Amino acid sequence: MKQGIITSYSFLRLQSIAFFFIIVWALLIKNFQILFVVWKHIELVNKILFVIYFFTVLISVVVLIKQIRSLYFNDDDDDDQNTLKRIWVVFNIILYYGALTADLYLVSQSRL
Amino acid sequence: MIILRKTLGVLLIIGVLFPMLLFLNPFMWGMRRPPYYIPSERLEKVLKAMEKELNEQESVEVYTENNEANLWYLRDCNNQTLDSLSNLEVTFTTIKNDSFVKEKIEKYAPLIEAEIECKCYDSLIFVYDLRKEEVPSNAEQDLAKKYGFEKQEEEDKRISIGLKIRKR
Repeated sequence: MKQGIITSYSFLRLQSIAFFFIIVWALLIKNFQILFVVWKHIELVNKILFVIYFFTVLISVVVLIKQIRSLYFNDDDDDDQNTLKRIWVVFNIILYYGALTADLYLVSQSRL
Repeated sequence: MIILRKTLGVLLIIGVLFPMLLFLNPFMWGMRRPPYYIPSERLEKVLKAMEKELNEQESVEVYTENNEANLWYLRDCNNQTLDSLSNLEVTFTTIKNDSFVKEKIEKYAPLIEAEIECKCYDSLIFVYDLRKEEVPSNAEQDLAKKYGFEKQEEEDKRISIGLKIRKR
């Protein structure tokens, strides 16, 4: 049952959205450095977000591995749905790399 | 086909785990370079022009590494959370004859001021070590030979020239 949820379309969609959000936030901070002057609490917000994103990335590692095991190591016949999910997982892995980079960038913008 | 799929699965798992070697490695975090002072492009140009003119007289390098990292310093300044303002220090390498230095400083100080946030720095300070090579007189040499003295090397003299820049 658990495997079914993490390989469902809605979960894959949620995962992509979460990674996108992390990447977009880091791009926002990178391109609008003036935010640090306009809003002086942005540093604190970045520190909190860094911790949240850090644990999100760690949990993502476990989830991605379970998804890969479920989709790539089962002996079911290839059908279109599973093929689409396999491609989606690869796409999410690419986004995961982006989220890692974004998280490392956020820590460089904090006085940790 | 199934074997290919499983091989791809193994590669993907390795691809997911590999960044964790860096991400979770405390040594990698410890190796992060601390923030440092980075002059703007325009300030860099002014400093290069100053260095070029100084090099017409002596081989001198101009650098600004001895300053507080400006990433956070300028943000704190603009958010008015600083307790006190720092000085901006422009350092030259050792100079043997500084007769031309003051003239160059007077020429370039306003140009440097124009390129930095004057409200965030108290003063502009130029620092260099002056090494005067004196030729001992014949009498001094004879005296040194007679008593077996060796001429003690004089330490370089540190010269600092400061200019107040903070706008009131």
